Amino acid sequence: MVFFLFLLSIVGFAQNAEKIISLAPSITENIYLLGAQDKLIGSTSYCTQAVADGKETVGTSIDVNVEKIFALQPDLVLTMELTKMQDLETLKKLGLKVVVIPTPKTFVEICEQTIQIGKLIGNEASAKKLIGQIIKKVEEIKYKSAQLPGNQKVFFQIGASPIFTVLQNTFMDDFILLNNAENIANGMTRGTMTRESVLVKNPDVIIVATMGGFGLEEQKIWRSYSGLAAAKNNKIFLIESEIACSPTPDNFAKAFVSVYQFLSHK
Amino acid sequence: MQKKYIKWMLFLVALFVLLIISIVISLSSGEVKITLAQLPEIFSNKDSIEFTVLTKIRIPRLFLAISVGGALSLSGAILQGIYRNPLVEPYTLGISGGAALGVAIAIVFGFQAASFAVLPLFGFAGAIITLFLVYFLSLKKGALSINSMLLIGVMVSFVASSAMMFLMSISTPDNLQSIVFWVMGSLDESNNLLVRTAFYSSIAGLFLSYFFAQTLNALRLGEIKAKHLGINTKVTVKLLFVVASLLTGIAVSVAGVIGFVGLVIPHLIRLIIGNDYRILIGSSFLGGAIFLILSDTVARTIISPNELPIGVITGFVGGLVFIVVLSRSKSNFKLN
Repeated sequence: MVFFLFLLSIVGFAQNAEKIISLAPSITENIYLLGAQDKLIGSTSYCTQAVADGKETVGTSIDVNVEKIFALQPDLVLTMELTKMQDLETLKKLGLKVVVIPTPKTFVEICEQTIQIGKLIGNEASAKKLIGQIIKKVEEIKYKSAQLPGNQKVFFQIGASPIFTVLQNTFMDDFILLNNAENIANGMTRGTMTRESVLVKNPDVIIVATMGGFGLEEQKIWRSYSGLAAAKNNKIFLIESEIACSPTPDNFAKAFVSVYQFLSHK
Repeated sequence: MQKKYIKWMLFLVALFVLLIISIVISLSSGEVKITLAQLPEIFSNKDSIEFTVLTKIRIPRLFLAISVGGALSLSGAILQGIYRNPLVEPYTLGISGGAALGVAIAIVFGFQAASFAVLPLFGFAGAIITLFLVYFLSLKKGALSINSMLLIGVMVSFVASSAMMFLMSISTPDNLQSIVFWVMGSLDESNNLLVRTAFYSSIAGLFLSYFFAQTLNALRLGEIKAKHLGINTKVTVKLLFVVASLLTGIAVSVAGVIGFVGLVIPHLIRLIIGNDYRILIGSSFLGGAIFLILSDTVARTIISPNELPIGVITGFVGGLVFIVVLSRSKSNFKLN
């Protein structure tokens, strides 16, 4: 029921928005994927493609310039949960339409959000087509990974000092789960881990996000532990943070394929 | 006179025993429980998880805790002596602010990708540059004005922290997180070269400071009186300042900002054994080492498998113990 009301509220909103501002890199990427970049008039400084295309920069995901956003007079402001509540309230009071897209918790939610964005900006058809292709790709890989031994324990590291792991109920956990493997962080609720506790769980495969250079260093450290199964198997891999950690359907499929390759690596 | 030396010897022995006990506690506790009886078995199987945990994680951490704790505490003892001010600690002088700024610059511009040594080097460079700034700004007619030095140090550290906030506000969320966690401090350093460098240089600092024990004792009387005792205060204050800063610089560059050790430990030691620097120097070092070993053990076990930043523990425990001890001691607090 709640979900239904939510959908209604979206429909009630300005459909076919012509001037959009995105306050999150993954939303900007989604807009590009849907081929709606001409409607995008402003983005954050982290949205590299949009900045290169000369779109107006209205701040970072966390700190936005409210005056600048208002001056651009967008039909729609799309944002994720990072943006300051006060700023969003101000924008709403100024009469702008603000839609907050929550951080997706699963692959399915990523797809739903892309369709939601497609609806909001009047590109629903291309959104559905895109999602169809992505789901097909993911299903193909899922079929292949069903043949893998199902008991591989995976440690997926997304932060260094302190070590931070991918947790359950996040879209990144689906990289492991849908690939028929097991996340060593299952059952944990907080993402920081001591190096020791990773060693004790003795993962068969370690995947490290690049984290702007920190990942390479971490990979070397894990490789130096001779007692570790992943080091013995030589299965310690790097994955681009920009692809693995940014929730768009396209990125998900790319990272999903990489994880499958890591798991099937001999 | 004899009695005093016996008391000192006993105190040092007690500290050594405490150090051994905390080393044993630290090496045996964690995710994997390791007992002394298991040691032969562990060392016979070099491919075991226990062996890896012990040699690659716990022992380097232990040495780092000894070096960083010792260096910070010793540096605090020295600085409190030359400034004759109980509130001075290594971080009051802007050294940590400078180090943090250096590290923030390296992270924001992406230099850390080049080598493991980049962040420690930038941290150290930041600390040393701040030190020279403070030093030359407070130099008046070739002599260091101690009060203006303190004030300039505080100001420099404000400027450094503003500059860091500026960098943080223009950096990406990933970098932001790296900076924040670096500032909170951690002893998780797996690089052997860094651990060794930190250890040897802090021990070197300890021996070096011993040469100044009597000078520091004289300085307790005040700069002018120390001069009358035939001490070249101009030179020695400068030298001591440099030694203390180097010690802090090394500690900060490998472990990040770990507060309170340099303030609390020397004071606690003073309360127990007195202000004579001949005993204060060594026991501050040992005390700092013990305190940091135990704090680190708590930080990595209390919410296991998660880890707390060690600064949280040192701040909490250090601050609370200090308040309790200070409010219970009958005598007023004195440095001389």
